[in-house]
Amino acid sequence: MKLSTATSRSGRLAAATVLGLGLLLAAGWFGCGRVPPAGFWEPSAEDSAAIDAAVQAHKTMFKTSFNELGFLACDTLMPGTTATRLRSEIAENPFKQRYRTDSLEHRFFTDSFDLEYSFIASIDTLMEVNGAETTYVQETTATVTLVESIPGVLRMHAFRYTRFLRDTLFFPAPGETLRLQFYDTLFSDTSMVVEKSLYGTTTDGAVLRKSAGAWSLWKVAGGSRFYAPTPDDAPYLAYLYLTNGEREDTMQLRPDTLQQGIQRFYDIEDELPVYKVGDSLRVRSIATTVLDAANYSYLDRKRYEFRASDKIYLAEPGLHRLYFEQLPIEVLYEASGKPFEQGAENEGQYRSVIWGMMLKVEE
Amino acid sequence: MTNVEFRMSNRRLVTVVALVLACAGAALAANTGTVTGRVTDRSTGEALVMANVQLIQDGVPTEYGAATDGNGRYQIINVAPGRYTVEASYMGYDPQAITNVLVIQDQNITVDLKLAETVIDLGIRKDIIGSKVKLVNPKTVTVERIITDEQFKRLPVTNLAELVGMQAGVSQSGGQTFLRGGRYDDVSYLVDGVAAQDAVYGTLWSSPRPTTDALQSVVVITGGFDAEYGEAMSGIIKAVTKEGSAKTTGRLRYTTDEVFPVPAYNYGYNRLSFSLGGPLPLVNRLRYFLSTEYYKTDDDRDCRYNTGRSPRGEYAVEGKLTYQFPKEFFLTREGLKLTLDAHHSNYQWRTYAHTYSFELEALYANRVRSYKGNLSLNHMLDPTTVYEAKFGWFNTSLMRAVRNFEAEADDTTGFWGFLRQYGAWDRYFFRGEDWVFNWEKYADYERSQGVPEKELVKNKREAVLALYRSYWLDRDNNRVYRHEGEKNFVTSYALIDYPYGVAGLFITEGDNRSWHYRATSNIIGKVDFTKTLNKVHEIKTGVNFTQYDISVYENSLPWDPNPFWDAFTYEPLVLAAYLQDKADFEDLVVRAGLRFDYLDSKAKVRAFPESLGARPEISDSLLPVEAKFRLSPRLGISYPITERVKFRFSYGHFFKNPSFNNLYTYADKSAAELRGRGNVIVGNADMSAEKTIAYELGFDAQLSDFFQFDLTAYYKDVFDLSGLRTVQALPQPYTMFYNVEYARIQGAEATMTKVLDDYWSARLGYTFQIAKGTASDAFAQYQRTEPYKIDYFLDQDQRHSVHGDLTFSFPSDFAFVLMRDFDVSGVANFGSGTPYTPTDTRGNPTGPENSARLPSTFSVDARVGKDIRLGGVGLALTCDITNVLNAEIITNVHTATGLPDYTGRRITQGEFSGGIAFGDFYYHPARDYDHDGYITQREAYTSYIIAYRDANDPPTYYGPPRKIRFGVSLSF
Repeated sequence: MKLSTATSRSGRLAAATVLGLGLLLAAGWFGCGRVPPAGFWEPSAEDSAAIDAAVQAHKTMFKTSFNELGFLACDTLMPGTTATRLRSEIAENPFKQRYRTDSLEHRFFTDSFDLEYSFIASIDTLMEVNGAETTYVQETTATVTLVESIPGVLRMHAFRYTRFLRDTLFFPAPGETLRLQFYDTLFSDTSMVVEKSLYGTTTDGAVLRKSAGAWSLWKVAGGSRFYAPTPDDAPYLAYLYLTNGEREDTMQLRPDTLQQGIQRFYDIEDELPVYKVGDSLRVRSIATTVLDAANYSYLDRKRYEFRASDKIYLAEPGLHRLYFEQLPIEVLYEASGKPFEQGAENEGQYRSVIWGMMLKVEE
Repeated sequence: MTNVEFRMSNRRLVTVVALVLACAGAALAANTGTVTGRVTDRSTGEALVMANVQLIQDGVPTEYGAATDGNGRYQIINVAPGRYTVEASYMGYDPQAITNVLVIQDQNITVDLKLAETVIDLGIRKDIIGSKVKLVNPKTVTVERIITDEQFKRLPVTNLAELVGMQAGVSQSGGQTFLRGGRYDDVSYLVDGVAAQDAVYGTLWSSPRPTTDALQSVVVITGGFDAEYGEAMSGIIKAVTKEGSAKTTGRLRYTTDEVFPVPAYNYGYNRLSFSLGGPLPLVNRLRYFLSTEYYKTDDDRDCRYNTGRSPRGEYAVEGKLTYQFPKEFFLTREGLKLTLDAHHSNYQWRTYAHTYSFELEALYANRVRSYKGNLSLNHMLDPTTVYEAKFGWFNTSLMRAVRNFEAEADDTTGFWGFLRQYGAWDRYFFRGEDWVFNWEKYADYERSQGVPEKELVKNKREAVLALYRSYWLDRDNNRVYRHEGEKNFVTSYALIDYPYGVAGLFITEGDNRSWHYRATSNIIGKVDFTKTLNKVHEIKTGVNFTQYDISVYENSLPWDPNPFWDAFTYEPLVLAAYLQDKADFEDLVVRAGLRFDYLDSKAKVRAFPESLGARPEISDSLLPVEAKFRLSPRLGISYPITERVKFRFSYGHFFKNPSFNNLYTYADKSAAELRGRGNVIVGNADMSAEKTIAYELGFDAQLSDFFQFDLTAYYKDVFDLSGLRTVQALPQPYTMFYNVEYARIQGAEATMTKVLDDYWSARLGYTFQIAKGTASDAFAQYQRTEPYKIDYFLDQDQRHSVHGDLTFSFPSDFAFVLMRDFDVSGVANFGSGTPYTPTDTRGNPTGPENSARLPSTFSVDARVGKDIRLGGVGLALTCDITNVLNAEIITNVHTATGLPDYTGRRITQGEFSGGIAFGDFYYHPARDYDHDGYITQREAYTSYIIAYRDANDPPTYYGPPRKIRFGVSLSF
């Protein structure tokens, strides 16, 4: 009887234990443990390869044209140009810095164009409202930042020079007339070379979109930006006006919602500035912090010195980059103040800003 | 009785110590227990005189034994903790054996035996019965929570800290353990009688722990402890490790959660342990116990979910050799045992901080490396006298800095390289560690590189200061990895290079600023005596010394030529002696004791602390600190009403020296150095010991053979706690430690225990406490212009806590076959919320200090175990489920809302300017939802809100979710 009671009690205990055990196991097994929040989407190796292929396919679009002949060399200042400017500008301000060379030709020499890019890929959930119906779609994109490093030298060849020394001021005794020393408007023939070290980078960008499993170029930046030696030390170009005679586009560095912006992305299908084959473009005006500068335009292997009247003829349909280059004028003369006869010197550093604006030219 | 503080010369000290020792008669060896009882005739109840009582372990008779006196009483002292069978034999009587008697350190176990006369027709039959423990021990005057290896086996816990945390009177938060509302460093943690905690900061669990296989038993005393225990005010945690028994035993155990394919349950948890112990072949008296443990997990942070990026690795090896001398020699007639034990462990882990979650490699990691060795002599001079002498060495160090992953990547050869390649162990290398601790190598290298002599680092101190220019070399010392332009340490920034792309919320680059190394190397000596004078008095005394060698090197701006940095080495000496008497009157047990504590900090303090002026003869003049000592009286009374009911009372003064960091940090800096770097905290070696006066009143009752109830009410006044105060020095103030804080703690603990019987055991403990004071820890009032002088509820003031466990354990002869050798246990923990100070969203207090409370917490853990016998091998299968209910346990909140996921800050779109364009430093595509290269105000606002919500809903504000682990072990 006692054994029976014990067994019965044991049985009840065992049953309770098994029941509890079962509940525990059920809770443990079927109940969800807490899981971390969903991680951020990261592109697979296949995605990365596809993005890489898409960038490579458009590599020429993202490279500057420094390595093209037209960009490499141009006769910056035609003979007599400096003297003419000199006379007119001194009339306005006798203390203004002046060239001391004339008939300058400058040429870029560089042997390593290093185009690197990185991308950040993400999935966005977008809300689309179509009448009363709201849907959410996922959009997979990769924003690509391309950086091209351009080291090298700017070699300038001077054919004529003056003995004018820049920034040479003479402070006479009180009451005497202030005057420049060593001022000379006479140019002598010469043949000398000055080299400026060049180190600049071009930044460009694009947005790729994944659609139906394939990555393709969707948007491009309004323009590439070249700064030498750094954005802070290069001239600051705020905006310029581009006109074809019928329409004027404002190209801004900093974008807003109304004007075309260099630092902004545009759908290559329908958001880029569109011109017609046969249009003649000209840069009407620029807004810059460096007024004493040499400015150039470059399109399709041809370089132009900027003048408001110069026109750039659009002959070929397709996507084009219209480059606009600004060099502070001191870049274009020898800066040490030493006589030029002492030979080529590597004084100072090349500084410039170049925008490579994206245009779409249609038939 | 009042405490007395003295300052005295060493000569006087020696005199005092000698006097104290001269008064001492004997002392109970700290790590052994006593078995007492009475042997009687079962039918008549008459005492059996000169009956033999012997302890048997693993079926083998031990050295422990005694004969009964004229009243049939026996006493076996100096018994090593463990499980024994107590067997009594007497001519004409059947022997009786009481099995499974658990001997605990410092405990007096009463085992009464009742022998039956031998029936000649049946022959001699041994009467074997299971132990029935006396649940109320009339000889103890305080409440002691005993944790046995059986509980380790049955309960769903994996380490000592968890088990300690389940005891009444213990609360845990932030990785710290608090006993009865005291500070975290008020606890003394002893392993085999030797302090084993970090002496610099007094933290508990970063210090070496015995392997779980090696733990024999742990006793947690939450108050009223005897005079033999010092350097603690809140309580004592004392662990005793196993020694080899007469029979060779071993166990191999493996626990893992890597069977789960999903990260919600797979934490990469692997724990492998192996132990082996027994007599050495041919030398039966020489016994060994070896134990090793390896632990590795991908996520040790125990927060809301598996981050998978908070790895921890541990390995530990320890061993104990014991030699019991034969009894033939007159000196060893009563027992002489020599014990040699050693321990080495290495713990390394990287914590998880949510602000670093996208750049966790920039967060610091930790490594605790420890070595320990002790030689003990336990000598029983006669059946009433025993002494134990111990001499040991203990070295532990903690390194905390950003890891040097490049150097680790090169660690591919040799033994450690092999382990790294197979993912078994990633040996941590730290930035700048080599630079500081092998500075000679770098000086030689730099000299060879032509660096001028005056620029070379000359010692470790200079190397710590020069971390900003540190680098490292490869193993051949000929390759510089980092230098100059590419610094070893870089300032950390919260920029945009992470998926949210929002600056100012998450760290994205650089290194954490912590670079900290501390080490203590102690030599300890200890002698304890026990002498039972007569039936009433048992005298204990002992003396111990610890010669510390402490060094700290730290730099908390390692990239800065003018960092917060410190480097010091001190050799303080701590001495202690005690004397106490356990008077066991028939109906009253009195334990009275006196303890002497001495500290010679061997340091100097600033003669003119208010001067940081430019005249070094004043501002840098130092005065030597006189040695300090304290006398602390202890009194405990146990008043048994019946054999099963008693009242107890204890009163005592308890002292603890401030953590050495509080004595020494920045203490040797010149005034010019303190001026050059403001906001420093300066140690004060002239501080006195912190003091607690505690009263305790308790009631213990054995309600039946299996139920026990105890209730304890206590009150503690805590004085002279370390705290920070601003020194209004000229020309600039600084902060220094003083004995200025106070606390008042009162509360009650109650525990109901059901011992294992009828297949189940249970325990329910409740703690009520009110802990008020002027500072929760020594740093609480840092830079507070008006220090708190009014008590507030301390951080550790957990008003109510309940711990319960329930175990079903079915033996091998259980009626249901499937349930045989089957255990199921559950542990439930409830804790009311701990306090915090409510603030507005800018951090300005909106109420009194600590006037709001965190939510309460509740969790349930469970273990299921099944034992299977396979011949001589036991196979055990276990399944542990922690937080069975998957409860969301809130461990921290934002002080403006009281919520873990909402700061209360209202963010409006107008706070954002927008206009960030592609190519700008702060442009990030993730914020540019329409991918037009232009982040509008709306986009800036929306993206910030999303990132801000994540940043302010850290998983570390929650406790861990449900976890499941499986274990298998083989034992023989």
